[in-house]
Amino acid sequence: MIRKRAEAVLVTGALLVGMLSGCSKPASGSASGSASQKAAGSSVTVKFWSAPQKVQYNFWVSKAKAFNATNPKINGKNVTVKVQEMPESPSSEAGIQNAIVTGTVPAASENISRSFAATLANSNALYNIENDKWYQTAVAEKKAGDTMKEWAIGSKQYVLPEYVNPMTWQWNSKALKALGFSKVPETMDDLKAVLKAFTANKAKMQALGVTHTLYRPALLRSDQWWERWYDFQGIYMALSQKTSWVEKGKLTLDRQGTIDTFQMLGNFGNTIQTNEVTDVWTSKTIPILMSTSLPWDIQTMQAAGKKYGLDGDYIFGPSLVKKAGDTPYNFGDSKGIVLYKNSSISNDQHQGAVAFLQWMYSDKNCDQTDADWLAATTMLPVRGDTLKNSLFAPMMKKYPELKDLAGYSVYSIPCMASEKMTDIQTSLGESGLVPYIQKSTKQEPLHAPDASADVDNAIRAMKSAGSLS
Amino acid sequence: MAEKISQKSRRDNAAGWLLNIPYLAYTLVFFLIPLVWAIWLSTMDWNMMSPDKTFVGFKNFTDLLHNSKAIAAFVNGFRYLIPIVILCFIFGLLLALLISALPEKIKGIVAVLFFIPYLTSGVATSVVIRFFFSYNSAFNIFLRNRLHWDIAWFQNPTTAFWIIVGIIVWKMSGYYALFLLAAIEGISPDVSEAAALDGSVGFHRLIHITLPMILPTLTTVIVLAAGLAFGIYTEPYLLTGGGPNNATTTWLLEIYNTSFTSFKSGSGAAMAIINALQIFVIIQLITWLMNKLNKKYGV
Repeated sequence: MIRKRAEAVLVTGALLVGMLSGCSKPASGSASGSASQKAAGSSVTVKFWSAPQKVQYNFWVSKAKAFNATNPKINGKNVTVKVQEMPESPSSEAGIQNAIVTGTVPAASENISRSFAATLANSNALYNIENDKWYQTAVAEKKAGDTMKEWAIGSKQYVLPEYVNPMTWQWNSKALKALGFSKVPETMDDLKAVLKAFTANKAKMQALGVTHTLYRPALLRSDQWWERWYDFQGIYMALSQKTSWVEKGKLTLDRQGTIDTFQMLGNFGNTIQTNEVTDVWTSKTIPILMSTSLPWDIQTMQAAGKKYGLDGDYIFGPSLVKKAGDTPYNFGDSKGIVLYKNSSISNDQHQGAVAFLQWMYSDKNCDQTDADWLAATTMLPVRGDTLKNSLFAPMMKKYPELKDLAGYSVYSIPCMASEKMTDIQTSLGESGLVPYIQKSTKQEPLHAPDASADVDNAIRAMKSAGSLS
Repeated sequence: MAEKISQKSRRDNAAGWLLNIPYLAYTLVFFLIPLVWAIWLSTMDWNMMSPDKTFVGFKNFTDLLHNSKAIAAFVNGFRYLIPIVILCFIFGLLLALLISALPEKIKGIVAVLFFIPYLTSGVATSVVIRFFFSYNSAFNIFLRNRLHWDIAWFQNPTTAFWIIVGIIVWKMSGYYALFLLAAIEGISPDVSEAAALDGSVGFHRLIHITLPMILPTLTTVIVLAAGLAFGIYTEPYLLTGGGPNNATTTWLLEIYNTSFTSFKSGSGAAMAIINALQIFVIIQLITWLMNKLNKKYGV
């Protein structure tokens, strides 16, 4: 009896110790969690988070390896940069939020949008880098001084933009040529001419397998707030000639520019494809005339045997402007690098991260870093000389579409610097764009309903959601 | 003698508490502390990243009264509850009855086959369903070419809602059928024989003999299905995003969006508490009703 009781107590105790030990902090020297960041003795381990994508992770691992091989030192201590993929679930932003609250945040990471950087900066979780030497060298080497103005958050700089995907239009070359067009549309009048030709040649288009003009399933999904970057901001920036959405707690959205944007989409009428179509650009017959551009898919397109150019299968066109001569501004799908401020990050670790970035973007390495990035990801680095620098020429030759994209990237505007971007863009969809598209898709092309009321609803909703004046 | 008994009783009590420590510790660490923390969080305006936290009292709760998505999630909880409980009950029972009538040799295999959907990942199922209902799927091409039906499945609130209900019922019916099968198999053959001798066969036997005898298991199945209806997340997240017009949204989806995309952690915690209260009240109500039914049939 006593033995039985003793056994029970022993088992219970073992279970309890085992369970509670799972809740304890890792022992010093452990490679997990924040302990890996602890500067111990004569070495400093710096944690860097890459985007949760293999290509980007491999790029950063190779760069960290090369940097570590230079035996870098901070305050006499050896620095080792360790790259990890940032958590993807439930989202990379939520992963960073969790890391900040639990003190496991890295010293630096990539994959940060301007909007999320604004949230982090307002939460005092980022270093202002505008006066850092490494940042100034990087901007000078990249010849990106003008671009950086678009990245300011409250007149300060927190992000070094890494890549930009200019979001413009992607056209079905064969359909465009069959309609009698020998160049990509550039203005609203050009678009109207294309829509007129499409309506007049529906049977011809059907024979080619082209059933719809614009492919945009997300137009009816207000929950996918980020899609408003692609189906609103890009068009709006061109039609409003770069009038910002939000500035200093004020909704600065140009009402007329917004109406023009809605009505431009409304002009597609019932020829918009709002249902999901699988492999829309890589299927044997491309069933649509155009869509927002997919710059990240150029390797997939090439692998599917699709040729770029007006004589090929698809071509990128600029943002459509109101009249010839206007600047074709577009939305820049762009993310960058930040340095985190947190009590769990020691000064040595912060300096180690700075040393790593200084090495990456030094006058000696910067061009090669960006050339390697382009070769690895086919996403354009944020630079002012992509078309002129000979280091990028081999990739431009391999992917001719990159040349056009580089030309458009000059006019790319990143997302707004607002903590409430998610709510603002959700409201735009919910109270304005989605109800308008539900109406306009019942009309024939070129009969866009008046968008004033929907735009006014959207403006009211955005002001309320974003606490904006 | 009495002192000896009292000593033994104290020792037994101590051993009981000791043996319960792992469970109590587990409950404390993974349930009570998070619950208290969630209640505290629900009274704050905080994104969990900023050093600034503002105490807002019950504002996060009162704000939900004006939040159309939270209201939709509350209402949709009931909209999902009714068809999911009824259909899971009907299909689960049908499957259990069919399997119980099969020869012993294949009964086990068939039961496992119907259990497989439960083991299938909701993500995988949703991806397949998304392809199945895409514009250029064989199914939709057939509908357009043969019947001239051009249906935007996920843009219509009714079809989108029923697709999600369909997936959940398909996934869970086989699982609940196993519970019911075990209960049906547990009915003594003597009872079945006596019923047959009295002329109670087929539908009559199902209603008057089988169902009353498996009522405790039915209660479990109904309570589990009711809880499930308030915990839907993967399917609307991947297929509809809660739309169109909030027709398919759920509490979990709204809690996720509020906490992790809008970074309003306090508001997300308030939603989680309301969701928990709604589930608690509904489950209590269903349990009370089922217990009344159980008492009526003397089980």
